[in-house]
Amino acid sequence: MESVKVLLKKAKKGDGEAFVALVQQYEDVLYRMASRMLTNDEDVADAMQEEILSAYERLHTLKNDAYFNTWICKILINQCNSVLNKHNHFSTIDVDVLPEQLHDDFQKLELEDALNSLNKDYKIAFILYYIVGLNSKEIGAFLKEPEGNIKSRLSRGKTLLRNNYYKSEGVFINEN
Amino acid sequence: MKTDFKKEFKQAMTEEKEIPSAVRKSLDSTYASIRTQSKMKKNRFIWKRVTAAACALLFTGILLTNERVIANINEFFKFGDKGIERALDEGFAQDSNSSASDQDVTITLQQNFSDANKIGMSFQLEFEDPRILDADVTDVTMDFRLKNGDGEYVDEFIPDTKPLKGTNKYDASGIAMHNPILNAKTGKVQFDVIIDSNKGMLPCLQDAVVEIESINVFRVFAFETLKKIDGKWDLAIMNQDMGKPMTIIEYTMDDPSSIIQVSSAKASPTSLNLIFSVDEIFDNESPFSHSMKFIDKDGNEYLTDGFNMDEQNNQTIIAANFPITAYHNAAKITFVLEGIGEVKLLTK
Repeated sequence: MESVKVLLKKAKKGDGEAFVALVQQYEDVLYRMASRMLTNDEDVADAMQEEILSAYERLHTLKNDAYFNTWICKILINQCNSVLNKHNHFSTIDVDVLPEQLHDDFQKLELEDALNSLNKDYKIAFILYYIVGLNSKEIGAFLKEPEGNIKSRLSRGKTLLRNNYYKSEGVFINEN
Repeated sequence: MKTDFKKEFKQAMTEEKEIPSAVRKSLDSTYASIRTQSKMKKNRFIWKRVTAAACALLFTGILLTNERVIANINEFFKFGDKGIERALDEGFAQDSNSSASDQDVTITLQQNFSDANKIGMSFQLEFEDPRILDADVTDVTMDFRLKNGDGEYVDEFIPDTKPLKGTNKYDASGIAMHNPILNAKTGKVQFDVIIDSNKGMLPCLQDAVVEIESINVFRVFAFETLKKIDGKWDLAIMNQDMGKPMTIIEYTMDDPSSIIQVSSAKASPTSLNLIFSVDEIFDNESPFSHSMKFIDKDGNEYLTDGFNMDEQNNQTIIAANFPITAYHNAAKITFVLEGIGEVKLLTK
């Protein structure tokens, strides 16, 4: 497989095949990001399609090749935000399916539900930290916010999540 | 019991997920679309042998005598292209004040120049509300089409999502652009563009118009990375002054039996366009990348930024522009293709 550097050089010259090969290397991360921000497959597909076409169209504006990873992630986050703004989205769970779930699956769904219920700012911080693999300093630079804000958002987000997750059992946990 | 939240949470965030079929289908179709668009773009570079366009011989550039003005123009077109710099120093540029306003933005074409190898345009954009150029703005570009007086589109720099209006008959090879001035206080942006043709096929611009369709304001590291302002700004391009003939110097091979067969070598005001062939088909462009240069009698070297490569009758044909211009007035130059050979060229 050709390196990201070589593929980027070719893609910037207009080689569509190289651009596709490049994006395919990030496909899983991009999908996990989009599916974490949006809840239905149709929206995920739309956001990813728009994001990839937009990146192809604007590749010439990428000044530093070393930032391709964060650059393409940023475009996707913008696309997901745009879908969310359009739909004023909220997540739903098909209650008819629930009784058929195994215990583990059911528990997983609860965690997913709690994750989905989080505010967008917390979700983005989690996505950038756990899925894209940025540290809090890099996330701060990415979002143009102080690193301290990001650290506190990651921590506060986990507390909120834990509280929501355990709410059904009547347990309240305060990490502060 | 939900006992290990930390572990479950990390697992939920990091677990691999199989891409569902609906998303897979959409991705594959997106990739197919990009491959098609890319092929269409590549077709623009396919070599088309045409009758040598001699119309450039008919026109001229205004000779600017004011040194201050020359210095300013050079500043505008600072692309690191020695050929263009030399042409501008020689006064090969047209002043213009063609202007249009829409969507609270006034765009003025300030200078332009053109020969068969390169077209240059320097625009000023003035935003009524300077706040649009905040600290996060890194680039301002435009989506535009350049249309000649005969209604033919010379080049179209627009997103792939918009249809082309022309037939690409002029085969422009590439475009370079930058913002030498981007002033958030005054709301003014300078936007300079160089269009080039590796095959020396650009037409004389006669009654040409730049049709601007959108302004793109790019940001880095902000949620809103691109602001697109759609509008209509049509700017007339000044015709070349007819007072003085534009010098074109043609070269011929000193040794016709050379391994490098030069079919055309013409020095225009901005650059020398060279088209040559070698009797071999190459799998990739590596033997030509970074290995082509001209050397003049003083030992100065002139390199190219890019080239077109094509195959015909078991030959590889290369077309490229080099920053040695008609103003150099060189009687003898040597073209070197490292690893393959060299050929001396003499003026016809």
